[in-house]
Amino acid sequence: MKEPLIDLQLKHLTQLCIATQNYSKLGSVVSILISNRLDEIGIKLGIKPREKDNGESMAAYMEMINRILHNNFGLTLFSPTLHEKVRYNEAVITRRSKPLDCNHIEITRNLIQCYYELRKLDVPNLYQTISSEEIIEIPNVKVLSFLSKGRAKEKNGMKGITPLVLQKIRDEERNAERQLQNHYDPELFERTLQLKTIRKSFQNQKSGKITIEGSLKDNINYMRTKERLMQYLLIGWILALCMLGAVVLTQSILFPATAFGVSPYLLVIFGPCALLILLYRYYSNSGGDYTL
Amino acid sequence: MTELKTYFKFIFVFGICMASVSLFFQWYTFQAFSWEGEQVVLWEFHLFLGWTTPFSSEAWFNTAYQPENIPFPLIINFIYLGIMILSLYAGLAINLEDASQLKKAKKYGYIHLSTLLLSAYYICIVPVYFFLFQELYFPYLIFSDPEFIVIHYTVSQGYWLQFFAFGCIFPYTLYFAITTTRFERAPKPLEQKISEILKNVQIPIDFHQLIAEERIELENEGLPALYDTKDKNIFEQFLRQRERP
Repeated sequence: MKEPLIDLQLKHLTQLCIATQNYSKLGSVVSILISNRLDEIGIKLGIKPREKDNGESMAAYMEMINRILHNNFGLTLFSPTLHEKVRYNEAVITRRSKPLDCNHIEITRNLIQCYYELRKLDVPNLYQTISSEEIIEIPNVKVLSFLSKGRAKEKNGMKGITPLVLQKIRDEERNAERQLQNHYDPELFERTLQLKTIRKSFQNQKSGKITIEGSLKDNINYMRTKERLMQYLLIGWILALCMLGAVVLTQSILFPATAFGVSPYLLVIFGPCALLILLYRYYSNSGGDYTL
Repeated sequence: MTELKTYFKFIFVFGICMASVSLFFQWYTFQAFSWEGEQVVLWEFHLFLGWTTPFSSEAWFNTAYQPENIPFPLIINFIYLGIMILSLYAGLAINLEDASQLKKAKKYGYIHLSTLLLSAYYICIVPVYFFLFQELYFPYLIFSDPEFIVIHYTVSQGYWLQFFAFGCIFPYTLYFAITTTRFERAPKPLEQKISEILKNVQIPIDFHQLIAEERIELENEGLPALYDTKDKNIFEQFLRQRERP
């Protein structure tokens, strides 16, 4: 659901709940919103979602996220005040058997405050895939982009410079981490995650397949593959005739007495075979491509 | 262009059917005629049955000329038939242009290639290892025997059907294999992936229902306004303190 819509509906519900004095409902709804927001933050950072079924509290989940980020980047995402607020209000909401009344309005208010404080945290997305174009944007690695001329050169060149690029990325990463330890900056944090992803993508380079989105029909490379079906047909028949010819030739070698008898067959087999080869070359030339 | 692919798919299916049927036809015919033109020997080789003859066992001349038994492994026929059934299924059921099936299609690409290789085996290896080594000549030869008979060595329908089937199977198989190995489906867009995960993880809230319930309660209680003065103050305090992002 889009955030402005949530805001509008939450506002409406708050008005109604205050009018009906149904603070429990408001408290529950805001708790769910906080839980959902925490899940979103966790997932974007590549952390497992909160285990609600196993009774993992929101405060415990926040603590876990903080611990992971502190170990990896030396930063604290959720401030101690926010964490404490969530922990206290969550405990009240979950442990209280009776519904909330007017005296607990402060708890509901605090929960809403916590929710909007969580909304303020701009968390970058760890899953962001990095394309080769993005590498050029990174300072210090920019200079290396001129090596990428031609596909073969790119492949060989990249193989050679990969350790160098990895080293540069690692240095950048360390710098960013050091800065993050001093103060939290969402943009810097995002850059750090991006660098980590680039490093991983370099370390696990793929086989160079053509990646397609949507339908194959729209892909230009696929269209070319389809256009070669006629050539494949010719190759198929050339191969079939060659196999037949190979058997006849083997027979002539094994039984020289039969060589005279089978010589017309060799003509019948290799004659059309040669014609098909010529036809294949003609097709290849007209298509502007000799290769398979 | 789609039509071209459809034609080749049809040719492929036809080729697979032809290759399957070929296994049940006779593959080699060994026959002899007297100088008068009377057929005195006729032996036909079937891949499943071995040598068969329409003559009775009392026809001693026919029995005397029975070719040696060909030790053809029957299991290969069954493997080939099984692979062809899978190939036929893949050819008919899998639409390569639907990129979502590319991963599944890759496995069938290997099956298609296996079909093609086995077809090549029947065309190239079987005649050399099972016919020529038994002195059964290829593809058609006539020998005059000193015993005043004329012997015909002939490769039969089964072999030729297999030969034509190879030519029919080859283009679509190669197209299928190349497409499945060259292309891969791009991962889903990031936003879509994240929203799918979140959808499974997050607790859904039906604001419309909650609002409607509160409205009904409000109406049932018969309150004159949406909220009274005391609650209005509380709500305004909310708005002041909640610190919108």
